[in-house]
Amino acid sequence: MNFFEHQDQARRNTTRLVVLFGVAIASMILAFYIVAVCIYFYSTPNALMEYGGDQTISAIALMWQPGLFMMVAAGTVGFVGLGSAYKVFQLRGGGRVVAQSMGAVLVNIQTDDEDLRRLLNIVEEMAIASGVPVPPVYVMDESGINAFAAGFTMNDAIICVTRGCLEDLTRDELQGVIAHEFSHILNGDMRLNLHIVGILHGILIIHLLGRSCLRGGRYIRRKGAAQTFLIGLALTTIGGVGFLCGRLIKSAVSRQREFLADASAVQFTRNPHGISNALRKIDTHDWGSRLKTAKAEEASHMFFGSIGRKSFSHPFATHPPLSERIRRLESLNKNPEWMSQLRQIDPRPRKPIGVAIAEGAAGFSAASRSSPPPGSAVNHAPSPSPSTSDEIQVNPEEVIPAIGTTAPEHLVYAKRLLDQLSLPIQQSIRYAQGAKALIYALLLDSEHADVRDRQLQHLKQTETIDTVNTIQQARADAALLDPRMRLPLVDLAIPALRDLPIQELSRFFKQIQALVRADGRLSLSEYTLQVVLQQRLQPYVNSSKVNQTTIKHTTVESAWNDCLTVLSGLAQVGHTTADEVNYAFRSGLYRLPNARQHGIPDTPLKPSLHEVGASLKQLAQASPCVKKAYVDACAHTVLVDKTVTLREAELLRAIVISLGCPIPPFLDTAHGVS
Amino acid sequence: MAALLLFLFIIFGFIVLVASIVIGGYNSLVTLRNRYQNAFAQIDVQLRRRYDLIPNLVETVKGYMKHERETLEAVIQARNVAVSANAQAVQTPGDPQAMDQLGAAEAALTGSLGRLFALAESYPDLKADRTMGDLMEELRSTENKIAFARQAFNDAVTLYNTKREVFPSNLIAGMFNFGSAQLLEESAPEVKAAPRVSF
Repeated sequence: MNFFEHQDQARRNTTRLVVLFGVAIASMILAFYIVAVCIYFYSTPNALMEYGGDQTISAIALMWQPGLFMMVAAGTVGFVGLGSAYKVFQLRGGGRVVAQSMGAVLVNIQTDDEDLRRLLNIVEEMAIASGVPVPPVYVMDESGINAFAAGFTMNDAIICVTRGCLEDLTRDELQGVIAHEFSHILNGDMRLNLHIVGILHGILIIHLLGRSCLRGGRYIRRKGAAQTFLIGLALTTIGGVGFLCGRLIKSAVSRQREFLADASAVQFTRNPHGISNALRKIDTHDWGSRLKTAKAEEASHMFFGSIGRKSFSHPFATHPPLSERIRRLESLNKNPEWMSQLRQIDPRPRKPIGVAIAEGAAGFSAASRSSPPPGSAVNHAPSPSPSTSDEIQVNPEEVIPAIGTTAPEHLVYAKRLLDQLSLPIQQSIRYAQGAKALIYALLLDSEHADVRDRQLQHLKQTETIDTVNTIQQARADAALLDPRMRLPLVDLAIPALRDLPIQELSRFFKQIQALVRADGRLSLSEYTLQVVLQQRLQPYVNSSKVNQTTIKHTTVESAWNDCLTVLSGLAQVGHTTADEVNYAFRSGLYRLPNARQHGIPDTPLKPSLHEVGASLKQLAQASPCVKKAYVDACAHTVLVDKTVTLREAELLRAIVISLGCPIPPFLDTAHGVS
Repeated sequence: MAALLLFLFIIFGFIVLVASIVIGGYNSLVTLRNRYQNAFAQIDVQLRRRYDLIPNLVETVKGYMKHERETLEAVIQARNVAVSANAQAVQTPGDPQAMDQLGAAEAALTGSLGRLFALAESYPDLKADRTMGDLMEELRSTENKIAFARQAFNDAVTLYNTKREVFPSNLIAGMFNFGSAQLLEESAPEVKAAPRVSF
C-alpha cells in the first residue's frame, strides 16, 4: 500500500468509526428509554391505573410512549453532540492543544541541552528526509518511556516525547520511536485519532453527568431524591457501558495502526533493532511506558506504548502487547525478503520491464552503455554515467511510491545536508528574525541584478536597517547553496517562524508577495515556494482553518479543466520548443484515467501563473486516490525529458507538497550520496 | 390472491436482480475498455515522440555516413510504416489486426535502428558528435517509456479480457458485442537478439 491508499483507508476507518459510534448511541437511547419508561410508571402510579382497567391495550403498546421516546432521544443525542462539539472545538487548534492539555512543554529550538539537541536533530533529519515541515517538539515530564504525535495534517502536527525517552534511550532507539511517530503523521492516523477523541468525549459526558447526578442526589433530601438517584444510576451505568464500547472500537482501530507504524519505522530507518530495543527497554523499565498524568487517558490511543499498567492482551488494550510487537519486528529482521519488499514499495512489477529491455524487445537501449535500470533512479544506485551537477535522475514511475515514505538514504542525505549548512545559516534558522531574513534572501533574484535591486529597494523602504543588513548577510550565505536546499531550508526555518506573533506573520506573507512580484514576471518556482510557506504556517496564522477536511473532487473528471491548466503550466517549464512542450503535456495528461474520453486541446493552454495557482488549489481538494492520479500526471509532465534539471525537480517537489503530499528529497544519484 | 402477489413479487425481484447484474457487468466492461484505450493513448504519446526523433537522427547521421544510403532509407521506410500503423492502431486500440501490424512495424523499426547503430560503431567522428549523443539518449529514454506504457496497456487489456471471459460478464459481453482485445507485442523474430550498440 502506498501513501494514498493509507490515507484513503484512514478516511474509510473514520467513516466506519462514526457508524459504529452511531450504533453505540442508538443502543444507549434504547437503554435510556427503557429506564425512562420504568421511572415514568414508578413515579406516576396513576398512569398504570388508567390503563389497568383496559385489557385491550397490550403491554407492548403500553411501553410505547412516543413523547417520552423523543425526549430521551433528543436528550441523549443533544448531550453527546454537545460533548463532541465541545471537544472538537477545543481540538481545532490541532496537535498543539493536545500536547498543552497534557502539560507538555515546547522545546526551545535554541536549546543547548545535549539530550534535547539530539532529539531536535533526529526530528529535523526525519522531517527533511520525508518532506514534512519540522514539527514542534514537546517534552512531558514523565519518567516512563512514551511518545505521541498529534495533529490534523502534517502542517499542524506535533511530536511529544517523555523525559524517560530522552534519558533512557540511545540515539538509534529514539530514532526508531520518532520514525514510528512520523509514520502516524504520514499515514493519516493522527487525524483519525483526534476524531476518536472528539466522539468518545461526547459519550463520556453522559457518564460524567450521571456521576454528578449521583453525587448531587446524596445531598437532596427532598421529594424526588429517589428519581434523581435512579436517573443518575442509569446515566452512569449506561454511559459507562457506552464509553466502554467506544473504548473497544478505539482499541481495535488503534492496535492495527500500531503494527503498521512499527513496520513503517523499520522501513524508514531500515534498522529493526532501534525500535525493538526501545520496546524491550519499556518492558524492563521500572515505569514501563506508564504515565502519571490523568489527562493522558483520553489520548491513550495516540501514544507509542500503552499508558496504563504493563499491557497484556485484552480487548480494551489500546496497544498490542509489547512481546507481540517485538516478535513481529524480529520476524521482520529475520526475514530479509520481507525487508527488501519493504524497500520496494512499488506495486508495479518491475522485473518484466527489465527483462524486456534485456531481451532487446524494447529496442537498443539497455544493450548500450549500462544505463541504470529504470526503477533505481530515486533510490541510491550511483549512476555510472557522468552527469553534471545540474542534472538529476528521477524516474517518473518512482514518484508515487516514494510519497509519504522515507528511507535511510534520505536520512543520511538529510543529515549531511544539515551538517553542511554554514554556521551563520545554522544560527539564523534558530530564531524568528533570522529565519525571516533567510526566507527573504531566498526570494531575492540571483540572476537579474536589476530585479534584485528593486527587491532590495522595497525591503529598505519597509524594513529596519538591521533587518536589511541581516538579509544582505543571509543572501551572501544563501548564494552558495545548492538549489535543492531551498525547500529543506524553508522546512528548517518553519519552527522559528512559528514563534512570530500572528500580525507579524501576516505582514511576513505580504512582504513575500511583494518580493515575488517585484520582478514583474512571477516564476513558478518562486510561486510554489510561497505556496509551500503559506501551507506550512497556515495553522499558526488562522487556527480555525486547521481542520480542513473538505474534499471537493472525488473523481478525476470533476477538476478536469484544472488538470489541463496545471499540466500546461508545468509543461512550459524547462521545455522550450513547441514540440517538446506538447510532448511533455501529453505524457502527463494521458496518465490520468479516462483522459481519452475528454476533449483534449491540440496544443497546451497558455495559463497565467495565477490561473495555475488557482487550479492547484482546486487539485489540492481532491480525495487521496484522485490526488494520486494528479501527482502521477504532474510527475510525468515534469520528468519526461532525458535531462531533468535540479530546478525542474525541485519545482515538482514543491508542487507535490503543495498538493498536501509529503515527498522525500530527490537524491543526487550521480554522486552517490548513500 | 396472496400467493399470486407473492409470485409477482418474486418475479419482480428476479427481474431487478438480473437487471442489476446486467447493468453492473456492462458498466464494468465499459470502464475496463476505457482503461485500456486510455493506456494505449500513453503508448501513442511516446511512439509519436520516437517517430519525431528519428528524422533528426537520420539527418545527423547522413553527414557522416555517405555510403550507407540503404540503411538510412530502410530506417526512414520502417518509420513511415510504423507511423501509419500507429495511426491505424490509435483509431482502434486493442483491435487484433491493428495491434499485430503495429507490433510488427515497431519490431521492424527497432531492428533497422539497431542496424544503423551497429554501423555507426565504425564511425568514430559520429560517436563523438554531441547531437548524436543527445539524440541517442533521448531515444533510449523514450524506449524505456514505451516499455512502461506498453506494460500498463497489456495489463489493462488482460484485465479486460479476463472480465470479458468470466461468468456472468461473458454473457453481457456477447450481448453487447464487446470484442476481445489484443496485447501489443513486438513479435518479429529477427529482433529477438539484442542489437549491440556501445557508445
